[in-house]
Amino acid sequence: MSKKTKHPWRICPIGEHWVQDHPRKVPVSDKNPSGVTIVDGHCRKNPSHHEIFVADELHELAEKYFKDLKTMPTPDNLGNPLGNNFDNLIAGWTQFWNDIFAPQDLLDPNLIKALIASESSFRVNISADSIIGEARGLIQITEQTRKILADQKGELMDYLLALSQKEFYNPNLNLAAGIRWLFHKKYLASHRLKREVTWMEAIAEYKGILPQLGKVKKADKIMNDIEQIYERLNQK
Amino acid sequence: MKLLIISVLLILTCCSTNSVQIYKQTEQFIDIEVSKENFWFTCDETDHKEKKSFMSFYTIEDDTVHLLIFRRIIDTKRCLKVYDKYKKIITKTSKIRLVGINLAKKEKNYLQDQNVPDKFKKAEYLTTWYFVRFHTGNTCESYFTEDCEPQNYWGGLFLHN
Repeated sequence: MSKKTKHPWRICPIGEHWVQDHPRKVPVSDKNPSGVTIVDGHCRKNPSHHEIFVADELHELAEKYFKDLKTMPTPDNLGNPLGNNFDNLIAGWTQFWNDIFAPQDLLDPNLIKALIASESSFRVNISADSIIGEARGLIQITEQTRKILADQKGELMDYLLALSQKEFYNPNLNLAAGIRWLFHKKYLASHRLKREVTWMEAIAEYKGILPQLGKVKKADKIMNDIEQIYERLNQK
Repeated sequence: MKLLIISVLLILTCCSTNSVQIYKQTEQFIDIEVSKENFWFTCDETDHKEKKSFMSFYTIEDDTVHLLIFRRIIDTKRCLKVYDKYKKIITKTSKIRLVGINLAKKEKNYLQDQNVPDKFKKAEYLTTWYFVRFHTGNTCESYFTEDCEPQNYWGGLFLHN
């Protein structure tokens, strides 16, 4: 994006991030006998001028705008009792990042639902063993990705997310970050292949198996599984 | 003599049953125990340039190979570390119990041209599963840290009821 515009859902102006209400220690006085005052929520400037999202703003934004969205994933729980629990978050973050990056081919929230089914079976507090390579939460974001998402001098040019390891287990924050990362993966794969890749190819890139597709049966089977879930969601 | 034949038959039945034991199997789920002779696992490097591997576990049940793979492809270096850890555990035991959830249905075995031991090439069919965990004696190792806990027996499987 050559010129940044403020997304209508965002609380703060371009180049600033939201800080929620928080307690601050002050000298004990008649006005503050407890020695603690509550600082109201406010916007704070980002010295790097990057757009940086922190947990407070992501929570505020979801709370305010994700209740009544037009484009929702299909309400099919895929036979899993948890399957429809995150539909609002899926819809909200898909719409948000579609608005920000404005791709020609909009990301479909059903594809995110299929990806979550494949990554974690809709389990929130799940993590891949550290020896395998730490990956956390609904959409299984790796530790390496978490660092890249927050790195102001790294491979992301803008729209960073500064979140802690613990915060990545939160489904709202996990999806905000995971869908942002999927857009980046689509950009990277398109750049590498010198053509606009499909969202399904972006998913394969997200899973690290795009180069293997059509050559390695195991990779094909993983993608077939997602395609079947996606087809089921789109048939209903 | 009759007693001897019955005893031999009983021993044979016992041992052949013991080599593969299915604790639970549905279209979506498998909990299988095999002897070490019917088991093999490897870091299957599928991308030499990027040095990426699928951790893969192979077992045989009659005419079918059950192939269990990790949900994600991982760096070969990391895969080999996992391999070494698992190998140390598996060396000490004669049986391995594996749990997987379905990734692909039973199909014609396609391992003939793959780099796997011959016995896995001979089976007629192959079913692919996502690896959930394995047990040996008191040891349990799982893909997701939480999946060795008894309440996660199904490994997040859909439609298991």
